Amino acid sequence: MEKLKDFAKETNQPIFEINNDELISLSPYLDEENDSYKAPDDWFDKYDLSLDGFSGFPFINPSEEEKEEIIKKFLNGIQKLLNPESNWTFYKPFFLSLKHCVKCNTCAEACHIYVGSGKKEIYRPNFRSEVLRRIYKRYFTISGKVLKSFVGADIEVTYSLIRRLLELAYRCTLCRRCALYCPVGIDNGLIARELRKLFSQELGMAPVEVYKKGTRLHLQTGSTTGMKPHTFIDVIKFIEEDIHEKTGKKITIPVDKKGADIMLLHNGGEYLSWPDHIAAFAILFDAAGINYTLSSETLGYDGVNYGAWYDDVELARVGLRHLQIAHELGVKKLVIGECGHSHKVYSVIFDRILPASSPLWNIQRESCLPLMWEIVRSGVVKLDPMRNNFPITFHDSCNIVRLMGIVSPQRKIIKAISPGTFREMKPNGTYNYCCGGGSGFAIIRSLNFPVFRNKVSLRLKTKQILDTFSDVLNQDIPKVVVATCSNCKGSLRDIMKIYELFHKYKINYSGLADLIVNAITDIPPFLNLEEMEE
Amino acid sequence: MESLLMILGILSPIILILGIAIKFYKISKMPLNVRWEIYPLPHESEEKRKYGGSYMEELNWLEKRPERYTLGEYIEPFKEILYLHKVKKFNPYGIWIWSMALHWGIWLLFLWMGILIINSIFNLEITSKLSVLAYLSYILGSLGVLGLIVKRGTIHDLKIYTSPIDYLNLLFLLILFASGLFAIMNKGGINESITYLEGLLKGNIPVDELSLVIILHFLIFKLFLIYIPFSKFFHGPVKYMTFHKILWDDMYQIKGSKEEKKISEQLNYRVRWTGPHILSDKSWLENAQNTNLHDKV
Ligand code: SF4
Ligand code: SF4
Repeated sequence: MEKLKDFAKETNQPIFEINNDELISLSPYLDEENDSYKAPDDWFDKYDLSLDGFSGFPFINPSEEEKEEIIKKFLNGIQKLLNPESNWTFYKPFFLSLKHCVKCNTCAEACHIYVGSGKKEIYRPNFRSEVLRRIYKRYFTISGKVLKSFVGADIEVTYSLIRRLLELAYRCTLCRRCALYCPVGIDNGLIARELRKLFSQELGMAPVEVYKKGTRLHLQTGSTTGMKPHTFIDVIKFIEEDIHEKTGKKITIPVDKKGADIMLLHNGGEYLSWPDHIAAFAILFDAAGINYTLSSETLGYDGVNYGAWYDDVELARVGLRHLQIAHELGVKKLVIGECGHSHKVYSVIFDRILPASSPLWNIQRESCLPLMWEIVRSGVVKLDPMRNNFPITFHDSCNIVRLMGIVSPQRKIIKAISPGTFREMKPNGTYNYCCGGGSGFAIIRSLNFPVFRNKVSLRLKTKQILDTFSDVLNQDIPKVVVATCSNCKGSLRDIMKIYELFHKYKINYSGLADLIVNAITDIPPFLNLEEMEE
Repeated sequence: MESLLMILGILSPIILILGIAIKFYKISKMPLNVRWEIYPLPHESEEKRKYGGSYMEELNWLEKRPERYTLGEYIEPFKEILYLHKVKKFNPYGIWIWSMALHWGIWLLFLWMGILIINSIFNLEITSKLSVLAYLSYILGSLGVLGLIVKRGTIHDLKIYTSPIDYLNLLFLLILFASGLFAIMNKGGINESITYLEGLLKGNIPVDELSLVIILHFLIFKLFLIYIPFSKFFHGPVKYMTFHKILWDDMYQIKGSKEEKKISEQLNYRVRWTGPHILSDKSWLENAQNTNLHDKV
C-alpha cells in the first residue's frame, strides 16, 4: 500500500491478496502446498471481500441511500466514542490512545496476525488505529478540517472505507500484546474493540455468531449454544452417568444448592463440546470436598460473555445477570471455570461496572486456578505424577496472564502433577502469543472467515507448538498442549485438525482440570490421548 | 524585540507548566474507565514482578491486602526515559539509536538550561566547566533528528504513517539543536549564553551585546517549551496517564471510596447509542438491567 488513504479506494476488489508463500513458514515440520486460496468468483459481487479477500459478514451490499445512512451513522458513532457519557467505560484509554501515538511502529512485531501473515501492512497493530485517527482528525478537529493532509487528516469517509474497517476490526484478536510493546502506553487492541463497539452499538453490525447467535441467544435461551435449563439438567445427568461408567464413582453434581460456598461458572460450550471437562471438575471438586454448586437458571450455566469482544451494553447485561444468579443462590464466591474472557470480565472489568456497596459486587469473583492449586498443593486428593508421563506444554490464555496476571498457579499445578515433563513455549506467560482464536475468532463461521483464521491467525501458535516439541516430534508418544480456556481449546482443536498435528505428530490438547484428574490415583486414567476430541 | 524576548522568557515556562497541568486536570476529570490493566505491573511484589503475577493469583484475594511496591511505579518509567528500553528491545526499524540521541539531546538541553539558571542565580561560574553538556546536547540532538528524518523518509513502513507535520516537528527540533550548536561554537558563545540567561533573570536582556544566533536559539527554545503541551511532544508527559492511571491501575474498588461514587454517577449517564438492541434514552444501569426484554429487537 502506497498511502494510507488507499484504504478508502472505491472498489470491490481486495486491497491485496494473501499468498501462501508469503505467510510465516511452518517448514521443516510441515510441507504445505503453495496454491493460494481464492474466494468463489460470484462472491465478489454478492458480498464485500474488498479488504483482503475474506469476510465474516454475509451482508448483501446496500443501496446508495443505505450507504449514505451508514456513513452518517458511522460518523455519529465516532462522536459517541468521543463522548464521556456514552462511552464512560473506555473513554479515557480510547481518547489517549487516539491522540498520542508517535507512529514509531515499535508495536508491529508484537502481533501474531501481522507476523503470521508475513507482515501484511493492514494487519499491523497501528494500521487500523491510524486510519481511525486520521478520520477523527479530518472530521472532529479544527486543525484537521483546516490543514487536512498536512496534519495527517487525509482520509475521507466512504462506504468502502467503512466496510473495510468493519472487517479489519475483526482481524485483531484483542490480545493486547501490542500494548505491552508500546513505549507510550497506546492500546491498539482497545482501538480495535472500540471500532467493533461502534459498529455494534450504533450500526447494529456484528458477526452473527457473537450477536444474534451470541449475546442475544444467550440472553433469550440461557446459553450461546441455545441450551435451555431443562437440557442443561439432562446434560448433567448424562455427565454423572458417564463419570460412573468411567471411574466407578457415583457423584451427584450439585445444581442450585442454596448457600453453597461457591457457584462455579463454566463456559457453556464445554457442556456440549467437552463434557469430559465438566466431569473432570466434578470429580476433582468432589474428591476435594469443595462445597460448590452449578446453576440451572437461565444464563446461570453459561459463563461466556461475548460482550467483552464487541459491545459494552451486552457485556453489562450478561454479567449483571450472572451476578444476580450467584446472589440469589446465596454463595460467597463466584468461581470462574476454564474460560479466559470470562475470567477477565468478572475479576477485572466487573470490578467497576457496579459500585462496591452493591450486594452483587460483594460476591467475590475469583479464578478457578488458585483453588485448583490449593487442592493439588494441600494433598487432599492423592495424585500420581507418573500418570502424566508425556511431554506437556502450556498455552497461556491472554485474558488470564497478560490481562489478569494469573501466571503461576497453573504452572505450579502442572509441575506438581507431571514427572518433570513440562516445557514452556517461547514466549510464554504475559508475553505469550494469542492462540489465534481469541475475541470470537474461534466461533465465527460465516463465509470464508474461517479460512483467514486457519491460514493466518492460527499460524504463529502452530509454529510455536511445533517448535516447543521439536525434539520429540518424531517419537511415537503423545504430546499434550494444556490450555485453561475453552476458546483456546477450540483453536488448539482446529490447529491439530487443520495442520494435522495429531495425525502426524500425536500432539493432543487438554484442559487443566482434565490433566489433574488424570493423575488421581483411585480412579482409572482419565485422558485418552490416543484419540483426539473432535 | 527585547521586551518580546523577556515576555516569552517569562511566559514560556509558565505556559509549559500550566499547559501540562491543565491537560492532566482534564484527563483526570474524564470518567473512571473500567479496569483495563496489563501485566507485568511494576508495583507488584518482587516475586510477582518478575513473571507478571498479580494479587488475583491468591485464593480469597479480596480478604487480603495486596502487597505493593509503590516505588516500582516510579522507577520503571526511567527505563524508558533514560534508555527507551521498549524501543531498543522491540522496534524493528533501527530507530533506537537516533531516538536515544534525540531524547538525550533534549534531557541534556534541559540540564544545560538548568545549569545556566543556577549559575546566574548563585554566581557560581561553573558553566564553562560544564559546557561539554551543551555540546553533547546539541550534537546528539541534531544527529538524532537527522537520523529520524532519514529513517522516516526512507523506510516505507514508517513513511506512510508520517505526515508533513511530523517532519515539521522534527525540523523544528533540528533548528533548536543546530542553532544551539552554532551559537556555542561561535567565539564567546558560552559566555553569551550566560549573559542571555543572566539578563533574562535580571529583567534586561542585552540584545545588542548578543549574536543573532544566540537570540534565535533561546527564542526557539522558548517556543519549544510553549509547544510541548499542545503537540506530539506531549507524548512524554502523557505516559503518566497511560501507564500509571490505566495500564498499571489494578486496584479494586473500596466501599465508600471516591471511585465508588464516580461509578454510581456514571451508571446514570444516558447511553445514547442507537443500535437495535439499545434503549438510547435510558441510562447505563437501566440498559444493563434490561436482560430479559428484547423490545427493540
Ligand atoms: S502504538 Fe505505540 S508502539 Fe505503536 S506506533 Fe504508536 S506509539 Fe509506536
Ligand atoms: S491486540 Fe493482539 S491481535 Fe490485536 S493488533 Fe494487538 S497484537 Fe495484534
